[in-house]
Amino acid sequence: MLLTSNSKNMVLNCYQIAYETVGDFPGIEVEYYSEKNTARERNVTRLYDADILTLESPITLNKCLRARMEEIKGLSDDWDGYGAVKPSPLTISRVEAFLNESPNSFIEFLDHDNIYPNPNGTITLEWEHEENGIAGMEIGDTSATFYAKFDNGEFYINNNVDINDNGLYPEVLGAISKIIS
Amino acid sequence: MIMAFILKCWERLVKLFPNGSRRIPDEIDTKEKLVRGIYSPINVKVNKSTNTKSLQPNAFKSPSGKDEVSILRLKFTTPNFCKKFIKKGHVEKQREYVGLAVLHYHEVVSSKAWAVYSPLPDALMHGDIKTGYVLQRGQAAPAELNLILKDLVRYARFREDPQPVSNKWNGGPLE
Repeated sequence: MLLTSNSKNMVLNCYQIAYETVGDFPGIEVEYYSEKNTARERNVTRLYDADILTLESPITLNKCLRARMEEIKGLSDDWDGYGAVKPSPLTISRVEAFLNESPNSFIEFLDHDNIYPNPNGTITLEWEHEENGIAGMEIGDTSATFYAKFDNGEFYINNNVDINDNGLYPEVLGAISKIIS
Repeated sequence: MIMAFILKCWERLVKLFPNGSRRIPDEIDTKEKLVRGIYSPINVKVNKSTNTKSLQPNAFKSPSGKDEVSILRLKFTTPNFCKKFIKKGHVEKQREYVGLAVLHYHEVVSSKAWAVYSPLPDALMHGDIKTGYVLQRGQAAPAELNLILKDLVRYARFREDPQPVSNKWNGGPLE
């Protein structure tokens, strides 16, 4: 079970929740674990009503996407035979961060082939729907660009997406949602 | 005497073809087929519903600092030579080779790209597809370029090589 807290900006994998009242502040005691290398550490924290708790199903990359990211990490230079460079650790971490922040529906729609490296070291993620169209996000070391082409002929283009922003441009989120709906 | 004889034969041969490279015109005809070697499986995607394979846009993207996507003009060579030349790079660089992609030049133009003739010493029929964009390492491509590349892969026919080890092309006609 996944517990998110907007104010504390925490995403916890919880395996035990106990409700308790601490003084005049009703709250929830949460026992969660974090994974460091192969070990799991148990932690306990208290989150209170003011933290606006939301329970969601876990956001985890499925096996296919994990395998794809591992495949990309394992690339060497000239992987395409024409002088391509491998994606940098920075680009890879930006892609993983984007995936971790994305809504479940975006992740579930992605398939193994929907994530691919480019010859200049960037990584592209694509959402393609037979009837709705296609959207693509390309992420590099310091820049990201986005396009959506809908089946009704409309376009949306953004060549300056700040994926470090806590909230992606609403238009980007809206475009992807429209494609995958 | 033998040397003189050889020189005489050579002179007669050169007279038949006064300017070797000009046998291949600079201008690429719209109906010409352009062949691109595909090295990496990561350039290929599988359509799960039809179990067919097609190319990813990264198959037609230039490396950093360049605007050139290497192709061979099939009109002036053969599928066997295309495979041999492309595999030569594969053997030297120890890269996988998976097959060939074919585009008609008018399809390149329809995608808002173009091609130029750029002969190599060991491949006089060599050319490059260009888009007008040069990207640096780690720089995300503008959406306009990505849309061009989507059109290119939409047109491109990917022919997986059933016998990549062989030096002969047995993957069917390159149409």
